[in-house]
Amino acid sequence: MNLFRLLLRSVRYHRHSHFALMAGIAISSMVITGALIIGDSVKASLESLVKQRLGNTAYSFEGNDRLFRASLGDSLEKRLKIHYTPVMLLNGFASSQGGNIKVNGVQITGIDGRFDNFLNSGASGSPPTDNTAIISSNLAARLQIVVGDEILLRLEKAGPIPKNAPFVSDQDNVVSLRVAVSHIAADYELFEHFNLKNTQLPPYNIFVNLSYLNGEMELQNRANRLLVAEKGRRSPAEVERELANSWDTDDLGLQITPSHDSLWWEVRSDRVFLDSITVLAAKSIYPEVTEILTYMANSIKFHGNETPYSFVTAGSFDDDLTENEILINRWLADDLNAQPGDTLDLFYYSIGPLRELSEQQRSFVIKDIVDFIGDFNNPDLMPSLPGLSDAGSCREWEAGVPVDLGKIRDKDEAYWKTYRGTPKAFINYETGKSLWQNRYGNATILRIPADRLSINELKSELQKKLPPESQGIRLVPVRDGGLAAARSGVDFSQLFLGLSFFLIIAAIILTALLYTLHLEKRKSEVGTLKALGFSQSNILKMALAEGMIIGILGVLTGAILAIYYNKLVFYALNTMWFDIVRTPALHEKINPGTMVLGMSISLMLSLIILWYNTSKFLRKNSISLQKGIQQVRSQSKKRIYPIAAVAFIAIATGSFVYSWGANDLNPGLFFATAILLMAGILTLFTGWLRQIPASKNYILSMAGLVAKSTRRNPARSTRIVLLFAVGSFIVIAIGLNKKDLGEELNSPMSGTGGADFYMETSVPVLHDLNNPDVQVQRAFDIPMDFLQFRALDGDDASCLNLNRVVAPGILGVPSETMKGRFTFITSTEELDLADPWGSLGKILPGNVIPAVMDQTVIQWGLGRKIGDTLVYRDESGAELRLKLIGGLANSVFQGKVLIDQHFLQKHFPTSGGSNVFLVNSHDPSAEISKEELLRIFRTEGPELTLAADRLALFNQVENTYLSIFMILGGLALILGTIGLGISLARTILDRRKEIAILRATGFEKKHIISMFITEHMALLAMGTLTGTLAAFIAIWPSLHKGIIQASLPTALTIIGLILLNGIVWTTFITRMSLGKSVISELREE
Amino acid sequence: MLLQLKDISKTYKSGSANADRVVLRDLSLELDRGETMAILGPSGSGKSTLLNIIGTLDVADSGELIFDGNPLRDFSEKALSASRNREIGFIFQAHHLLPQCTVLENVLIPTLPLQDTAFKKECQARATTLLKEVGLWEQRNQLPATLSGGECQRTAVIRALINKPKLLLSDEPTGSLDSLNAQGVIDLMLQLNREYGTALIMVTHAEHIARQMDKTYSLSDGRLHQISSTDR
Repeated sequence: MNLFRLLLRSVRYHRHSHFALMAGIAISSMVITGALIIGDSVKASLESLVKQRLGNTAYSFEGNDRLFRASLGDSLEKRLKIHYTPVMLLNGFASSQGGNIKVNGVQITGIDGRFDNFLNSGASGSPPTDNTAIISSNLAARLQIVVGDEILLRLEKAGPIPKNAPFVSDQDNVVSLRVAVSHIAADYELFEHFNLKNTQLPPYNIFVNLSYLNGEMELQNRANRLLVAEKGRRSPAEVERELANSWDTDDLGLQITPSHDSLWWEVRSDRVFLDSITVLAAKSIYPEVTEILTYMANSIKFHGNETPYSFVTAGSFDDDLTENEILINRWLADDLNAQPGDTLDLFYYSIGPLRELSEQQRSFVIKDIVDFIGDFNNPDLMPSLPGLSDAGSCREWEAGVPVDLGKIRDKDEAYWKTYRGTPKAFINYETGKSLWQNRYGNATILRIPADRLSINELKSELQKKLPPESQGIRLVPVRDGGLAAARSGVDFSQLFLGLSFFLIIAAIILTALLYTLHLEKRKSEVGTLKALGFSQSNILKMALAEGMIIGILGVLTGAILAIYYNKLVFYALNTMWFDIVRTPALHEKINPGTMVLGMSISLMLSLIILWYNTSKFLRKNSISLQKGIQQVRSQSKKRIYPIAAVAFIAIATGSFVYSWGANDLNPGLFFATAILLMAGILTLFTGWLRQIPASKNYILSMAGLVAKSTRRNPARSTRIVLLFAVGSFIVIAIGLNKKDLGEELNSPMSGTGGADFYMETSVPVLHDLNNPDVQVQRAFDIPMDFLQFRALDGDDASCLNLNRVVAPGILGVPSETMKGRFTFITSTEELDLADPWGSLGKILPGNVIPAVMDQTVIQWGLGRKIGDTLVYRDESGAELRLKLIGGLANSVFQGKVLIDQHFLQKHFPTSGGSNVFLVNSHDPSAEISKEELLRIFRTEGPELTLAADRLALFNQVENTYLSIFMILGGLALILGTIGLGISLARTILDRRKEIAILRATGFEKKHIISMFITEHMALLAMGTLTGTLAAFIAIWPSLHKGIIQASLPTALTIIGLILLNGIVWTTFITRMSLGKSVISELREE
Repeated sequence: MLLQLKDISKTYKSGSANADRVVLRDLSLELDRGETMAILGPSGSGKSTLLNIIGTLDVADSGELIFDGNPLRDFSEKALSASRNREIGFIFQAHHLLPQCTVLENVLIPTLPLQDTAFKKECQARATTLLKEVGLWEQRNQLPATLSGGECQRTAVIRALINKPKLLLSDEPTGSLDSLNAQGVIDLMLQLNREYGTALIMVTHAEHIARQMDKTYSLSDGRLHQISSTDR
């Protein structure tokens, strides 16, 4: 016999209790290793999805959907030998079967043959020709079409002119394409997954021919993105530099032409108005650049005479012209019968963000009457406005503002025919600028003397001064960004480790309990070894060596189980938990390194448990071990318990008070409060268990005997209580957190903002829908109220996206109409709680723009906190800093960052109209209202949902996470129940002599059963009560802030179920264990 | 007559008829009130089984047990428990004190199932008297772990007598004690027998202890054989 042989014999002899111990270790190993594998799998799936959705794309050259030449990247291929492809990426909607089936939110991409270079390896395809399209299979399924079928696409017309720029027609804003499906993409093809956005959600893709798309948009050789392939040895800076070198005034949308008298180079913009950046660039080339601003007046009146619809130019035509003076041409003077010195009235429209028109008036004194010579006879001063410039007569005008054709006289038609848009009046530039400058710019022409530099020099200078980044166009590293978003996205390892935390704790406690029971069984063996002269460290080493064998077997079993656990979780993620992943693309990945890590952590934890419990066990003296009698703890040790308990509860109170007063939500504080409180209560309980009441007047009662029995093995009792406290806490806390939608959804303060519908349109709506005229124009049958928002394209940061989004999509909100809507649950000092939405309109120091967002997204989606600043680039490429000053309770805006619409318009002037709406219908029938909305917005591609349904969708995701948490918490409770059962059975076994003596002294069997049930139910109740109390107190601050509406019946049901489960098992096990005769126990063994 | 056993038989079944072990074979026995009796016999002769049947902890296969004039065959489980509680006291080789309870509490355990409050109070008073009588009053609030073996067994004796039983059944009560402590416990039991008139049946291996009883029987082949009758 040697030590090793003794070890093996011990392992074999105690195989039954070792098996139980191994099972406990295997559970914790399975949960830990499984969580790590799940994390690896999800991360690998998201990374592989990046490759699937981008193909060979490494970069996207893009910004604000600005158009540039499709051939801009030619030099990349020629000089840097890098593949690129121009694409025109637009949003729209598709319909089939004569419009019976419509799918919104479709991504329409114009491509040419160069796109082939970006297909995933192994895939090949030919680009669609005119009138044909390649579509993704999910869209084909939705549209119920096969190859050869025709579909109708409707999309926002792309073009250089901002949609809501003054005098730009709102007609022909939408382009319709009828295309035949030439190919339905397969899963391995880029056409199926192509998406530049960081999301795992599969897009609805349609690919059409780029030049065909250009033609339908009345464009030539234009793209809004260049996809650039793998960089190879070229750095991104080199690629960007090459593109900047190729960049020219055509890409800027600038035309440079000589003036009518050839004295000037005139710079005009495709965008009608020249923005301040362009003006500044021109001034830096030639400081005395001349600015001209031409605007349309509704009418010019003098003494009852009126001339309708005339262009007026502000410029430097007369150096002595003061701000109140005006030059008019002979034709106008004759028409108004006005003379120099007369005062005429000029009426013009000021145009708001949603084409709200307000007519303004300004009086001018006629300084002089000018003849049709030079600039006074220059039709080119009128900007090129589609629908106006090309109109054959005034009656054909599509001016983007109401034109009263009745006012147009024959003489007006004659003027148009002869002089076209030649201005009839001229004012000082500064005066014109003060009247007509808008967010799109403050000039329509810039003039630079032709003798100062050649046209090519001017072009070259402008190209240098206005590089792509000045237009907000950048080389975006979509692949690296995508991979980073995937890698830093929702970490399922952490998530499942976090969600399983209490399950792991329960498994550890169970393992400790099982091990302690095992040690107790071997009490006399250990005592004998000690008595025989084995040193404490020798016995500890022997125990650890034995434990190591069990531990290794346990973690190996756990690792094998982890693979199946992972499969089970993946099955759940693809079925009942699909809400949180929303992609069928997840696949399992087992990384050996991760397995080893998981097993090592589990083994280490197991050994710590074994070491701690063995050491503690061995501290008992050998005599007590051998005799199997209890040791009496010293008074000084007993005093530690109340002191420690008070300390725990005091810190828990501090944590509670802090989270009560905090403006922010901190889950750390939630768990800290709960864990510390549980620790405090349990320490107090342990202290009570270890106390021996020995008052002289103490009279033993049945209840007293039960209480004393509970104290008989304080460690065992504490572990049972702890197991149930942990399980109950998590299940109850989660149960209280689950979000149910109630009637309060009608309240403006709720997450719906009190709206009936949430609507997004593929094509923006350019008008104010609350305007009665607009409602009449759009033939509203049911009156409706709208809140209109403008959403910029961006990554979705909602809980539907698993990727970590850095810059979520921005939503411009009409702050002034938002008062009293939604609920803010967190705030910084910049948020005025009396008027939170009003705070959005106030710029913060450092030119920082205030922003708000759903608190859950700030915290979980972005991994940020309130007060953090998000950095964007605005349309001019300048840095835009948004400070999160408020966190909303769950709302329909989840995933978007909200700023005041005025700031949005200022920094993104090109974006016009509204594409997100909250709608309240005056008709109580949701179905009728829905039909009405779908009819009214049929050309804009409405994606319409009940606001409550949208909120429910987000809540569904959160609830699914909570369900996982709850299931794992439930498993912890099952472990608790197993622990209770094992402990109960073991206790009955240990106390068979006691039971026998009680029977011998006249206790009925029912008394004894009742005693054991009471004893264990007391432990169960204590655990449940502790967990419940901790859950309620920790959640109280959230209840107080209105973040959650706890359902007391839900909580009581859960508590009831926990107790019922305990009662059933305790009764069953007690009856089973006490079924056999115990009389033999009374004989000395 | 306090106790009468008529033709008691008990067989332990083992699955096959050949291996069945007959422990008691048509055994009969009579015991008067206040009488003491020792039962001797080798290990496995069925002494403890006989004691358990007398104490209603075990049931005979056949025969009749009459206690205090009442045939116990018709007693319900509840009535048997009540009878055990009020009429019979047990003492075993091991003291079987509840480790979580103090000396006083252990002594009072048999009073817990009682409904009669007045009697409970009487038991509490008796506990005081008895503990003082046997010199354990000072240790009344101590746990069994802090007592000697003899003290534990004396506590067990008092526990057995706390309800003033008519019969005290004692199974090798001194088996785990040294001779000094063993005699002390026997003296105590006999003293209480004399004071309270409690009849006593003691199973023992020790002949010198058996000789201190009124009657001594030997149990072999499932039957009792009287060895002596002592006039103490």
